[in-house]
Amino acid sequence: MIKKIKNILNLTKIFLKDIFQNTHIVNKETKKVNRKSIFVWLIAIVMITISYLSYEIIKILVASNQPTIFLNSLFLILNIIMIFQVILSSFNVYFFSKDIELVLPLPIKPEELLTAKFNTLLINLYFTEFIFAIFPLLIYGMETDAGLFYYFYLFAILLIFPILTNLIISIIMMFLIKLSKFVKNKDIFQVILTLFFIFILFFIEFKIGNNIMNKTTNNMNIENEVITQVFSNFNEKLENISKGFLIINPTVKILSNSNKIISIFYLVKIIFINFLFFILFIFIGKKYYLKNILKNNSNFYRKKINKNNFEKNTKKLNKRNSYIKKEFKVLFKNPIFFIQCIFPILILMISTIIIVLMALPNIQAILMSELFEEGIEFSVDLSIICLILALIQIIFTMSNISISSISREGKNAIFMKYIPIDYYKQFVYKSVPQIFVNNIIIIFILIIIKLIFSEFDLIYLIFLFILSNLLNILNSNLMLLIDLYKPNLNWNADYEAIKNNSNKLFQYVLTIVIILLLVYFYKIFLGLNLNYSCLAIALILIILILFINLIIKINIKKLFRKIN
Amino acid sequence: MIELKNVSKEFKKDNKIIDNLNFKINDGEIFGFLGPNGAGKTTTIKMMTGILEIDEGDILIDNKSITKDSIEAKKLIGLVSDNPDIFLKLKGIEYLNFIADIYDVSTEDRLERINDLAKRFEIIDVLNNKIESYSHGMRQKLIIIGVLIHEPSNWILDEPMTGLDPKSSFELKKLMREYASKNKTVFFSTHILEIAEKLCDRIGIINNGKLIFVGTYEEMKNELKENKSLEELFMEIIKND
Repeated sequence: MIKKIKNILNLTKIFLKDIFQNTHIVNKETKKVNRKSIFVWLIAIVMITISYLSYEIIKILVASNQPTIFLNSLFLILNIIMIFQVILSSFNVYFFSKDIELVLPLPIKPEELLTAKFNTLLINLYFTEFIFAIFPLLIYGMETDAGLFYYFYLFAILLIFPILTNLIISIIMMFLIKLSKFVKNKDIFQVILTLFFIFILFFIEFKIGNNIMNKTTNNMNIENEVITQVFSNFNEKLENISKGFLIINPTVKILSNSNKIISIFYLVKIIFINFLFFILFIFIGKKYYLKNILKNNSNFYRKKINKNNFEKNTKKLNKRNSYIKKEFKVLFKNPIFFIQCIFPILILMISTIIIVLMALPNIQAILMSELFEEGIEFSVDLSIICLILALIQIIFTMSNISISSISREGKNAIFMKYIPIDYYKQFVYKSVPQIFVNNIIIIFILIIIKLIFSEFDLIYLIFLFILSNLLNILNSNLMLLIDLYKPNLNWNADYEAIKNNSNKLFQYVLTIVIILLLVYFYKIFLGLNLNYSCLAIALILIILILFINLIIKINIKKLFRKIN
Repeated sequence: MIELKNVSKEFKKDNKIIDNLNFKINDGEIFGFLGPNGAGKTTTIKMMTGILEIDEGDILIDNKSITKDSIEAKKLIGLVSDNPDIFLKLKGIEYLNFIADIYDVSTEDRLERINDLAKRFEIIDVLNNKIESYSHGMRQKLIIIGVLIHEPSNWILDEPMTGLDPKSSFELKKLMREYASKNKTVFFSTHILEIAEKLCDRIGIINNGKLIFVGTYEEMKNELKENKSLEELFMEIIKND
């Protein structure tokens, strides 16, 4: 038993080191938090923002005597984030990561490997909990004058909360992976399974949204309702939704009744549920896990070439088109790259459609009534243009395509140096996939805007299209430049190319800079005719893009030096 | 023709990893580049193909400088690198077609060459599969076909025999000889001295970044005044250096 635990701990340690070693959160020499790491500062900013917002919300809810709404909402959101996180990474961690091939020849039992993999995912979830939940829950305790027991239970809850989500999804995963024998192409299988999970999640999101939206609409019509009653109804709604998540309601009950004996009962209940699921997880894992891994490793899709597809596949393209086609193929054919680069954008678009579908009638009704009451006609001004551009820029932040364009090549990157294509041309070709995918987002957002604000002038939509595309090119060029300057080429598993790439942080910095730039544009062009303002912004962006490209062109040889 | 003129490279200041290399490989010649691990073989190849910058000197490929006229020089090279794990998610045929596009090979030529070489190396049946499903040797064969698809005048190979089965190794050696007989240059690095002894017109030995011998096997025997195998002579030269 001790040897088993030792094996599990050692494996977990190795898997975690592999994941976290490139984030540089801890200074290897001093063993303290690395204050020079942008990653650390980013986490700090996110935590401070969440804590501040939580403090303000808790204050309002305490004043309305409904503080448990906060607990219900926080754990619901946290649980959804965790579900997303486990879905997006579990396939890779359990079945498709390359370290499995290295571990398989070692004398390690399937359940030990399984538990170590489970721990890897779990520690990632604790990290999420640390960022999103610890401080808000401590603030909650202080604001509600909770006793000492609250903090004891809080500690226990934070330890237990992510386990069940992780267990349930892992068990489902174990069964679903058995279907791989029916799908010959394991790459497609991986994407389909992730899509399937996300679909379920969207279905839940749709249900939740529908519930809350219906309630909100009803409440708007009842003007005499006291605010506490509204909150109380909302809380009831949240509790009903949370029932579907098994662990949220008992968790909230423990923390909101921390000074009552009933909390112990709920805590024991949660531990018992977790224990049962863990036994089931190990039982299923023992039976299927290793078998499925071995099947996956040997399950390659083989198809013989015939004269027709041989000739079809050997048609000549020009260098540019062929290079760009290859970029898209590598991005779309690799399930890890697809999930990390294209999936977030798909998720964003589907979520937006759901939200818009649910909220559109309400938004339009509110807009119509408010504008009608105040006698204002809807018109586009510079603030709206800048606001939409800022929103589009925030969405661009999700795109990982250009920021990992060089890193994704890994050890293949030297290929770029010995083929007879100019480095600058290759730089331009590599910018294309992100510009193309972001273009779809731009068109999508503009359609949504037109749907919500039907009176939005076409000319301003065209201006927005042009301006956001200039931002798009700027984003893609700068992110590619950063990846070229600081590529992450030494990775063993595909997911490391993006996940362990700290360059992503520059994308956040760029978004902040561009938003500040838009605020500045708004200030200096405020008095100007809107058409001229848009043209001036476009001109500035074009000059900026040309200038950056000129710098890149001059220094292109130096920039490619890191690839060797 | 490949010509190295006073080529030096240092990764750290005052620590030359390649020190003043001077040699010329003529058209129609097979040149074997030998040396122990870490001697500078791969670094030299990387400089010859434009992967690494040259600190001092120049390398000419058919009289075109790899530093000053790099694109034109690269068009004249075909490199088989030591790592065949390239574009694993692409199908073999997709990879070959992509390479053919990059080097402007016409549809007719690529069809004929892929067909011919893939049959010769016995991978025609797997061309429609992803490269990740190939064995190490199959990947190596695919890279070799990819290089020969544009029939470069200078063929550079870094440890080409690694992972090849005996039949493919034999085919490759035959191809190298055929290539040289068409008045093209073949430059390859290897650890296998037996191959160098039987296949090469001339050999170059590098140790600690310095070229310590260039010439034929016979010239080496004459220089050392001993009638030994290449392996024994190689060990002696390295020991004396």
